[in-house]
Amino acid sequence: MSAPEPLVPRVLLTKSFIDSHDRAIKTIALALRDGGCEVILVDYETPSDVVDVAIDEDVDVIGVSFMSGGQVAVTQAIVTALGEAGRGDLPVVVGGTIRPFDVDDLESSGVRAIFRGGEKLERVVETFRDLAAESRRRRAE
Amino acid sequence: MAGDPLTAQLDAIRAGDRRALATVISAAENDPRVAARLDRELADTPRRARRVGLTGTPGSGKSTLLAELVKLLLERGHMTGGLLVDPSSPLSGGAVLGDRARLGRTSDPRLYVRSLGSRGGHGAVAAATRTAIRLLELWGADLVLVETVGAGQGDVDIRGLVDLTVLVVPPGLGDELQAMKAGIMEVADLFVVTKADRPGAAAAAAALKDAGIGGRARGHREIIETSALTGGGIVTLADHLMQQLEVTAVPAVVHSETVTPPPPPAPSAASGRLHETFDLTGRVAIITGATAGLGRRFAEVLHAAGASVVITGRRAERLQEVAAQLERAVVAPADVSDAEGRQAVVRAAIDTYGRIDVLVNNAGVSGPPVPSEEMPAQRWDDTFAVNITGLFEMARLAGAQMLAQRSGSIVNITSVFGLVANSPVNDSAYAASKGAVVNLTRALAVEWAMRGVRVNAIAPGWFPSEMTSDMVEDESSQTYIRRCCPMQRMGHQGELDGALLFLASDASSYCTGQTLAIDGGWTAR
Repeated sequence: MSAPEPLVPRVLLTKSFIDSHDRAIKTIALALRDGGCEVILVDYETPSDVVDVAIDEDVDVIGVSFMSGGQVAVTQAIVTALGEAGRGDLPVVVGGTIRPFDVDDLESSGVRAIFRGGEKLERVVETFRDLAAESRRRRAE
Repeated sequence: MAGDPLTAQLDAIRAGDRRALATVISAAENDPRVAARLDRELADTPRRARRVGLTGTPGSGKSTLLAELVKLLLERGHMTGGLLVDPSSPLSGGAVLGDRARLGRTSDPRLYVRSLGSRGGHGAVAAATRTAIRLLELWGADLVLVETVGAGQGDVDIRGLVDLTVLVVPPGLGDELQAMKAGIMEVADLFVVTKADRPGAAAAAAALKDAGIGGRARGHREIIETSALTGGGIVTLADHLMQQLEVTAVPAVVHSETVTPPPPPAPSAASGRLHETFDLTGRVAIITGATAGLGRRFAEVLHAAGASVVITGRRAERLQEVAAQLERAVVAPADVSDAEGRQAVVRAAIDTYGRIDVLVNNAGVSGPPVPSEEMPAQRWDDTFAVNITGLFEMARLAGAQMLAQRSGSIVNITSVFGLVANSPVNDSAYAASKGAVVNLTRALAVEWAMRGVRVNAIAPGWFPSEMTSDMVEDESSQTYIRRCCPMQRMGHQGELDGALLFLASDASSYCTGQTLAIDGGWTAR
């Protein structure tokens, strides 16, 4: 009997209306692809869309990209909806245009990592992979 | 199985739990052993969806077309499953699964969509596609749409997974020569020319008229033009699909899974999935002489590998006993030396399962040792009636179905005494008939080699069976075996399993006309 295939982290990357200001999320998607992750790339209309897709796609991490607003309110709504759906364990990462004064609120809402630009892609990928591994471990327990 | 987590998750899926569905699809993707177990356990699920495959080149508009179809199917009340396959990187193993972006909002309790990386799957489908389809059916989907990876001309594996293969063609197909090529053009059941609002769409549709006959029905295929921009053609396409599916899809009954044609063997790198080439899930096997001994064992082995089995032999009660131990078995009592009996067996397989993938020609007779000069004529005739004529006629009848399917594997059970003389156990009728099986195997193999049907043989040495029961405890027989057999023993039960599975499955896809001696070295001297 052969050993199982190695784990492939599954990441949901999402942004409201992905057809504009999407250079950052596409860059991260390619970096994660090259880092061995499967990236489900979708846009969303409401926070509950994000949760529904995350559950159906059985992802390990959710990454939400922001450009023009809603950073804290939308993220909090996603985290709350995940909890209500019984998936409060799913790590959420945010990135993009994150204003300095939003960081505290985002962190207190339970976001596991914040990428405000300028980070090395290797570190971004490593963060997603680490969170994915942790997420899988937790679910297996 | 009580308390088994996977069984509990399957129960949850059956009850409509989409979270369990998502988790188990992941488990199947991550571990081929889980996928193989699921394939076995779900092979006979009574829930059977109608399955449509959307395939075509990258950028042909498959995702957009699927999105439009999903909307319409939901409006029409279908429980719909969607599997969106994108290529996995051969370098990193990662993937960008972007097809879902075309779907828009997918929050609907009657819709479950899953993105799949191809992960070593061949022919533009994911390795776990078949398993994921079965899980969607268990969840309750009555329609499953599978979107392939952007496909090339030779990527035809989708055909083995779905009831209807739709080839999505964008404007700019090329001239009619492109449409005339074999492969993906040939297996499509329906052509859809997308982006019909753009220049070149009409030319593509015209070129497709030269694609000739093809598809499952081996006829001329409908060409439908659609436009996501205007919405044109989508309703026509949905109506056509439903009409076609009514005609071609198998009704939702037990055993319907087994009519799915087996996927063609695909080239593969050595990997942890190698054992899958021995998998017989969804295949249908006939085993003659299955009342006891080796034949019964053969039926059990093929069944354990996933096949549905049709078992035959002269003693109906014994067959019922064998069948009672198997989940997917049909009993067809018959004497293979009787023409009507043989026809009834093959008819039972086709009527029940719709196809025949494996025939194990195991039935055989022998008698007590007799000098050839004293061989009764009737015994000679009786031996040949079973061992060679019955075997040939079964191969002919089952072979006709396999040739029609363009796939199948026949495994004839001969004997080491078809390869060497059986002195001092003199039975020249047996030896001659088994020798005839060896060369008949070659003749059929060469004749059918280009038509998808392989014919091989197994030549067992001495194995415990009804035929040899008096030898097992007999010291002189054992002395004879120790003297002639380099391994100095009879074969053990199970020591033919590997050879049988090899020859019955895709593991031997490049092997035909061969006789494999499993004899402890008897014929190696």
